[in-house]
This record gives sequence, structure tokens and C-alpha cells, in this order.
Amino acid sequence: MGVRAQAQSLNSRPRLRPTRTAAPYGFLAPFIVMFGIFLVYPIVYSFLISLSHWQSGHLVFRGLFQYRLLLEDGEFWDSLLNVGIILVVQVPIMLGLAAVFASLLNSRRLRGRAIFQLGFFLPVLIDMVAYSLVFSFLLAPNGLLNHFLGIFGLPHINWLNSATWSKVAIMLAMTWHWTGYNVIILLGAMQSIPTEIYEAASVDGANPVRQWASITLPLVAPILLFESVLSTIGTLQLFTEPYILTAGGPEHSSMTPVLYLYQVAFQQFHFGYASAIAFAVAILIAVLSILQLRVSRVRATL
Amino acid sequence: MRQKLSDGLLHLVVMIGFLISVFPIYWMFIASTQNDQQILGESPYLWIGRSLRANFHALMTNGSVDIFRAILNSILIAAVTTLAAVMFSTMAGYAFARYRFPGRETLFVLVLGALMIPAQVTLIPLFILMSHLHLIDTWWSIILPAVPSVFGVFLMRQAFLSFPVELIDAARIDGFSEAAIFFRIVVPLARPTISALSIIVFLGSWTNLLWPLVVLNNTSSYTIPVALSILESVQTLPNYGMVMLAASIATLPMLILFVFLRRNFISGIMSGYSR
Repeated sequence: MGVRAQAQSLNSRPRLRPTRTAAPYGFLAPFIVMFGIFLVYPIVYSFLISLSHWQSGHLVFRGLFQYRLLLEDGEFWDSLLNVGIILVVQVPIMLGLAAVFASLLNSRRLRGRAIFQLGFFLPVLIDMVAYSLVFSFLLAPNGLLNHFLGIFGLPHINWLNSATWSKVAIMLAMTWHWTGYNVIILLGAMQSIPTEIYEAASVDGANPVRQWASITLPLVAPILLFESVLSTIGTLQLFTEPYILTAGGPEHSSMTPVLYLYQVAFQQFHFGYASAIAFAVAILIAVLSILQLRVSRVRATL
Repeated sequence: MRQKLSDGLLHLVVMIGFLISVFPIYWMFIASTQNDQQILGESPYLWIGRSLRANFHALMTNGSVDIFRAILNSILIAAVTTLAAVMFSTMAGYAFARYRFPGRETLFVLVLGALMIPAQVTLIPLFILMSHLHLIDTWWSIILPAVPSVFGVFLMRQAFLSFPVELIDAARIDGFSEAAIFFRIVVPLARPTISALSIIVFLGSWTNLLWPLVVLNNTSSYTIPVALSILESVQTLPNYGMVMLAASIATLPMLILFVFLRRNFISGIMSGYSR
């Protein structure tokens, strides 16, 4: 539900009478106090820092200076390009795989469904650092993946220390961890489709492939869209995987905006500049998720 | 014949996906019993090794990370965070869904707006705030910022919008106070959504690396993600088996929790999407 729809639904509840008790304020107070201190105040403060130069605990107002600096920062643009590439390549592959496997797992002809589903779900339970560590060994020069490629006579690949392959390594790891997560959600959506629809289609002579294309896919399309929005946001905020697997290297080839932000803020302590990075990323995330939802709405009305 | 063939193909493809999903986890546990030669040697080794004891000894004496302490820290931090975040979100969601009061629209739009802003924006101000409050290196520095869960408020509000009003009205006529209605009628009936939200918040706290990495500098306060990342980075001599053992041990609590709360996990993950 979009922001506007949410706001509208707020006003369209005729059954609620205005209350004269202080009860709602009592219920809201704990959340609102924490929300103000640990969310609203930091967001506003962060914006002020991004307009300033941080000097030994004091803010010196510099206007848009940091943002101008950011526009000319090659490493920042590299980091954006990197997540852009990961976004365009990894998210469609992952969601495609998720759609295929969810459909297969939903098939009534599949035996041992419960165990298979459990297997696909397991990666979700592995901590992100733990699985990144596992992949840093699997993708090492002498790691299992290279041994596996060797079986087919393929050359060893320097996954983690080459500018060409570092992004691929991160995409492999991400795809492993998140595909099952998306499978579970899609599967849930598919299982909630009433079987009568399929029965009616069978009676009309539609084969399973046709049923999948004309019933299953359109009905789970909104979920797929939502998954793509969340995956986009997640990719733009990518941190743990590059931090563990490649540390952004070699030569920024797997640097991400948030990893860059972390380094600028907490290794170089340029708070003003790091805050500008944070806001740039925030704006990008907002624009992209609104765009994705818009495009889908236009498509839905066609 | 064709039916059989496509059935075979179906099982084969699913099997391949299943093996790829499970194999790295299997390998993580297996590698924790192996030595460096077996993990990154010339020929791969895919079965239980004999170095579990040596790896465990190395892990216990590594001097930079106490993995069991980290597990305890992670469990307690996630538990307190979940308790507070879920309770406050439930109360706030109920107020937004079930009352009309001056300032409701303004507050709600403010909360909506915060949902759009990614967490990294607050990283630096929170760090400064925590320094001023002298909370760096304490559990509170992790717990407090995670308590206002905007997503939680939305999820709970959504659940309460379809809550039967008749029940609440009947309780009012019976003379229940507003607080009694909430705690004795509303909360028990909202349990499925509450448990789903609990799982989401717990998982979020459990896997968070960035913020704890910023505020925790002391071995005794590390959470699991921080401890694992430090264990990898401070190693001078490679000891891959030890790292995999630590990762395996750190994974166990979540696997155990999943065994007991399987349904809640699935519904928790689903509810993030059904908004």
C-alpha cells in the first residue's frame, strides 16, 4: 500500500468516534518518545551535519559544500556503479530463480516437498557474517568452487582478488543467501491461490504450462514486484558481504556506498562528508522505490 | 512416458537447487572438524575431519574473541530489543488504528515518512549521541535505537484495523478500562501478528553487523556478527577450521530456535510482504 493510500485509509474509518480519554496518548507515548530521540532527532541532526564541516566536536556550517565534493568523488561514483551493476544483474536472476523454484516446489507431483522446502529455507537462518565467511573459503583460489570448475576442465578463477570477478563473487553469495527467502514468500502466495481456479482451467483444457503463465504468474506478480523493491533497497544498502568477502577491493571494484560511508565515517572520521553520502543514498533509495512502484502501477492499468 | 520424464526432470531440478542451498551449510559444519590442509588444500575433502578438538582449543585460546560470550550477548540484546520493540509497536499500532484523537494524522504522517529513510542516515548522529550518553560499548547502545520499530507500528496497525470493534465496545460497556481492554482482550487475540513481528525484530537484531561494529570495541561486549568478523580479520596465522567452528557454533542458536518456532518463522517472513 502506498503512502497516499495509507493516509487515505486513515481518514475513512467512520466507526471510530473521537475519544475523550487520554488513552491513545498513553499507548503512543513509549513509542513516540523513543521514535523522537532515536530516529527523528538523528535524521534531522544528520542532515545538519551533512551541511557542515565537523571540527573537533563542533559544526561549522558549509552549505552544500560536502555534496559538491561528493559529485566529484570518483570512489563514490564507483561504489554507486558497483551496486548498480549488482542490482541490474543479481536481482533479476535471483527473482527469476525464486519464481522457478517456488513454482516447482508448489507442484503437487513433487514428492518430499516438506524436506525440499526446508532445504531452500535454511540459508535464511545462517547469519550474514557466517555465510560470508563460508563463501570467502569456498571462493578462495584453492577453494571448493575452483576445484569443482577444475572437474570440467575450466580454469581457476581468482574470485575475490580480481576487479572483474569480485562483484560476481558477491552476487553468487547474495544469490545463495536470498533466493530461498524469496522462494518461501512466493510459495506462500502460490499456495493461497484457490485450487478451483486451476481445476476450472484444466476443464477448459489448459495445460500446466499455460496454467502457470495465465494463472500463477499474474497472481503472484504483485509479490514479485514487492520483492524487487525490497531487493533494490537491500542492494543499495549492501554492506556485510563486501565487508567480509572483499573489503570493497580490489581497487574499489566491489566498494558499495554503505561500505564507503562506514570507512569515511569511522575510519577517517569525516562525519560531514559521510552524512552527505548517507543522504545521497537515502534519496536514491526513495527515488528508485517510488519509480518501481509507479512503473508497475502504469503497467497494471494498461 | 512423457509424464514420467517431466516428473523426473522436476525432481532433478529441485534436487539441484536443494543441494546448492544446503551444501554450504553442510560444508561449514564439516570444515569446522578439518585442518587448513583439508579446507584449502590441493585436493578437496568433503567429510568429517579429525581436527575438531584442535579447532576448539584454538577458538577458546584465540585471545581476541570469546564466542560463547558473544552468543550470550546476542541472545540477551535480541531478547530485550524484541520485547520492548514489539510491546511499544503494538501499543502504538493499536492507538493509530482504534482511536481518533487530535494530532493523529500529523503523527502518523511523520511515522510514515521515517519508514522511507534508511538506517545508515542515523549512524553518525547516533554515534555522537551514544558517546554523549556514555553508552558506547554497552548493550544499551545497540538496544535503544532498535526499539522504535516503524515497520512494527505499521504491521500492528494493519492487524488492528480489521480487529472486531464489537469486542472492544462490549468490554467498554462491561466497565473495562482502556488499558485492561488492550492487555486482556486485544493483545491475546493479536498473538499471530505479534509473534510474526517478534521473529522479524529478533532476526534483525541477531544479524545486524554495521551498527554494533561502530559502537562495540570490547571483547566482552561483542555480538555474534561482530565477533565473527573480528575473528576473521585479526588472524595472523590462518586457522580456517577455527573460523568455521566459530561460525557453526554461532549458527546453532538460530537453528534451534527455528526447530521450535518453525511456523512463526515462515509467517514472520511472509508478513513483511503482505502489507
